[in-house]
Amino acid sequence: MVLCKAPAGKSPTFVAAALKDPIGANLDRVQIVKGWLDKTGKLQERIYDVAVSGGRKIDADSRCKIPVGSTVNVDNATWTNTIGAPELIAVWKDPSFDPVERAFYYVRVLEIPTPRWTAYDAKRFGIKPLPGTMMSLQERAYTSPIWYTPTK
Amino acid sequence: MKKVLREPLVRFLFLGAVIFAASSYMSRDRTDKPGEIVVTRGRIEALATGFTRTWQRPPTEQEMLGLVRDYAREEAAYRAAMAQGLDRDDTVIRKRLRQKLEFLSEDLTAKLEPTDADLEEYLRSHPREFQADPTFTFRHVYLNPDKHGTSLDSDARSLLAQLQRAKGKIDFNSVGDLFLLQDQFEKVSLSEVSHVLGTSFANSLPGLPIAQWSGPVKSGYGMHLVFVTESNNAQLRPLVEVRNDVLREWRDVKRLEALDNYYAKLLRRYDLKIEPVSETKLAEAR
Repeated sequence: MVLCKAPAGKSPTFVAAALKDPIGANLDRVQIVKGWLDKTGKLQERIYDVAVSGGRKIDADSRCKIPVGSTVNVDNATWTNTIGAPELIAVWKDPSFDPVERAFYYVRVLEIPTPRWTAYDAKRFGIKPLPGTMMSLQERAYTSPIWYTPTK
Repeated sequence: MKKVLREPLVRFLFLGAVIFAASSYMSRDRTDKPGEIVVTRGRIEALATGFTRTWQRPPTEQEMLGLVRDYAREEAAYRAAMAQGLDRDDTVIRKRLRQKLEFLSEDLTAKLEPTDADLEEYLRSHPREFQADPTFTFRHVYLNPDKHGTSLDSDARSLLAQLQRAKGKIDFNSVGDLFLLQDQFEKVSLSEVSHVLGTSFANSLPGLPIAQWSGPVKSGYGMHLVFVTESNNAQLRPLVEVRNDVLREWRDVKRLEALDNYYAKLLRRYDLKIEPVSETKLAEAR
């Protein structure tokens, strides 16, 4: 989808809604990632947290510093849906919109931490992973981007 | 002489001689002598037809020449390979021959046309394979655990009591939390419900009472209060609805039966001897 030529003094506003998979993990947060070409022609990117679970606070810099926590039991390769939210919805307005800059926006949704495949394998085969192996992760989903292309 | 010509046996012999002569004339160039490969007119036509079917146009003269040359190579390779006995002990060829033989024996059952009574009986003796999935019509009120925290259970119970007391005087859309999916389900099958709301919800749905608010029911998303308006149990569908499916299954059963009979008959021709193998050898192979 492409947006072009914003009306004077207005910024694009987005509605982002995410629903978890009924058999999957709960959601940690919904983010909007903005990328834009600055005056020198360099690509800039910035992440905005737009909705978070558990009533956590999103700071003035648009990030939530409190992690959702983790229920992952690495030894048993299990987790529970006792944290996070089943669905997250937010309306977000770009706070630093410049109508002459080319830009793109996409939504990224993070699940709560779940065991990584290494944890399932270690449990199933009863082996000890090498030190430093990542044993849990936050699965995520992305939307396709919405482009802002100013008409000259 | 006239009388002799009228004799049926003489007529039969004469006609037989004509047919034999004609057939040996027509197949004259089909029986190759050992030292020659003859590409018959019929073979060339078959090659051209095959090409046309693949490319949607007839072959050019050049392409036709190529096809014939390739056929000659194939024939020469086939004969040389057979002469060297390369077909023996080849798993691919053995499998293919077995397959061809089974196809031939299966061809006989493919033509079997059962009566409706046959199919009816098959349908009745295999009800589970053809019954319709149970369907449900219901609406629900959703409670988001992220919004209720530890009071989720008690909130659900008090809202349920409220809905039951109101006897339909509360708009169910105005209570509970926002739900991104639909809040009413019309004649959905249990498997669909389980796709949308998860298996735990689908498992509790058949146990709910009809025409009253009940619950709370746990789903992958949270708690739900459910009002089931209609439920249709799994039902045996009439033959007219599932005739094609029953026919397919019935034919498959007949096919396997025929194949079993075929092999039983085939194996009866042989004296099957199986050599004993020591248990330790088998264990090693495992």
